Amino acid sequence: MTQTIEEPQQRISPDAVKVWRMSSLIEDFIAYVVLGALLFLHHSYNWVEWVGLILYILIILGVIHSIYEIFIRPIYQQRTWRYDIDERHIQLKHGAIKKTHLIVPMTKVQYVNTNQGPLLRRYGLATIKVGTMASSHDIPAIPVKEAEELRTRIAFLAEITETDE
Amino acid sequence: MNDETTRDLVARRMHPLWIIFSIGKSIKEMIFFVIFFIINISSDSMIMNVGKIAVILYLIYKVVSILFGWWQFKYVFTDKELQINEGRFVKEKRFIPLERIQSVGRNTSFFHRLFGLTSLTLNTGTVGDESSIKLEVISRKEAERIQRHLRHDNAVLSDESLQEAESKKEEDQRQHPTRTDHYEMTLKEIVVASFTSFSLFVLIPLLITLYSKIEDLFSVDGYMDAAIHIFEKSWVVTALVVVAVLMLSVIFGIGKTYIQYGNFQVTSDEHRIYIQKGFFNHTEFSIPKKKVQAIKWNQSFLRRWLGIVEVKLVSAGGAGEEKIEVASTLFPFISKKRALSLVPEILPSFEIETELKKLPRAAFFVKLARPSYVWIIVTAVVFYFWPERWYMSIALFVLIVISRILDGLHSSYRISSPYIQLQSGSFSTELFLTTRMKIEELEITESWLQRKFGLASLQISTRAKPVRVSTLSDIPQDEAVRCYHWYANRGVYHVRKGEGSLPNSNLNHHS
Repeated sequence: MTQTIEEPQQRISPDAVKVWRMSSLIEDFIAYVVLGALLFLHHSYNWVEWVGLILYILIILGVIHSIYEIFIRPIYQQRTWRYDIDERHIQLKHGAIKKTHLIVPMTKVQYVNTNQGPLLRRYGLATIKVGTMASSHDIPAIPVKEAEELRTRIAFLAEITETDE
Repeated sequence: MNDETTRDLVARRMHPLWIIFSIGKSIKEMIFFVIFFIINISSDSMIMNVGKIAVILYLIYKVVSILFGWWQFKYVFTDKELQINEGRFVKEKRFIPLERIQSVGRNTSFFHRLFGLTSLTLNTGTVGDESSIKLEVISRKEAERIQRHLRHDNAVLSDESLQEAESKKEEDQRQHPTRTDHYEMTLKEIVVASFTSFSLFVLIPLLITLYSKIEDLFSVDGYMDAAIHIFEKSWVVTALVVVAVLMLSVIFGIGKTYIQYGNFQVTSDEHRIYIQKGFFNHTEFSIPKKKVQAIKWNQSFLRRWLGIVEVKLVSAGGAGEEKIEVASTLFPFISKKRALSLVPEILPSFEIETELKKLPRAAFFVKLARPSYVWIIVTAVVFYFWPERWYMSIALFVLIVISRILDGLHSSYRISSPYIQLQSGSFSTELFLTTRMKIEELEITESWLQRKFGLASLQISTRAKPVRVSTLSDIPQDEAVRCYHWYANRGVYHVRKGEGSLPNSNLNHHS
């Protein structure tokens, strides 16, 4: 057996499932309203035939996508989300069907902050955003207090090693 | 020496000719209005009068604003930073730490050359409008002084004593004796390059445009008919014309390449690399060796057969302006063999291995089995609108299969202590080489299909502008894991204890 990447240990809040479900629900609802409006316009103004065809295909794909996004994905996403923060790296791992492992050295961390939208606030959660020169990464759905501690910790760890560059 | 430092600290303005240069530039920007204005200068209608006043007022505003701009813009280079005072009507002060300056470009246009002037572009690593500082019109002497100053900054930063820096200054004044020549483009290379690029075809659209322009003015159809009649009669004439057009386009292509890359030269000293080029428009670009983030080798399909590569330097202040982007090309076209011996000579901190690991056979299955959304959409559209053109779908399918197989053949990688090399691409390939320290983050992904075949994808991000993300798909899973560990075990934290524990000590990351 070949070696593997050892999984990070920290998990995110189980409430993430509810938050993701709600936000998918809202997003999909808006998408359906837009599609429905287009379909209505299509029928009342007699647009070319293929527009209708594309709209119906989009709606069918949309329904499949919604079932996946609302019922299945949040559960697996929450179960598979792992992170670890030590003095050297931030390691993130998520995904069931498509697994992603990400590693960011502390020395490359440019900024860190926490934020919470209305949905996260309802469950007392927050998202930590870690930015590097290349991009930024979210660690979603962490209890607020823990998130704030982590943020301070990351900021502290990233700071000490600043002399590296 | 103290006298000199104080003299250096005086804030300077750009050369007064900058005013002329800027006025010229803004006239060029509104050339359309100016011509319109001149043509209708005798017109007396209400609108024209208002227009005239508006144009005159605008011109006055422009001139005043340019004069103000020149007066307000001042720069000072201190030991640590560059201070800029600017703002035409609102004053603004900027401080740029010299350490931030990633590379320096020097561009001498025809205008500059007429008056013995030049321009400097200092690229910083930041994103946005103010990412580069341009000194558009300065004297050559001043440019030399600034470049010298920036070179010193480097020397000082790498902890060399000031005395040494001073002695360097004197050396530099004797026409850079410390610089070593590495490469000078030959005429042969230019000829080969123009034959293998599209510059040969530049003439054809040019002729077509010319033809349609002439046609607008005179009716040439009659002549064309007569000409076609002659062609039909004698194939000798036809052949001669074809040969003549081909020769012309060859000469044209070579000429274009020559103007662009003539006098191309690469030199370096202890800390910096200098790239010079240009026939009419002289450009010099210099970059500190330690700011080079990565090296890129590009090969187009045709050049691959001939063993010619393009070598580029990736740096944080690279892109932005096109002129500079081109200049960060270390070798526009060079034989691979020669490049392999030259690059380590110029950049000793990068090691290139020619033997790369190929992808396993399973990777080809995965690459071919992946659904192609482009193909699905194109096929659906073709069958819906033009069912009689079904062969387009098949042609696209074949093209996609070929490109995926080529990608599988070309994809290769190598990790050897601090270096990582990734090569990918189907019709044209790119080899990306960087060191562990320069990688900002590393990501390994594994799709369902890849997992079934024991494969994974590797993605590394390097600091560049815009951010450079290099991906290599379908490498064996255990290799991806090895790569993850390789990156996780960077030697960063041993630095302060001493360099001994570092795999390679000439990386300069400890400064």
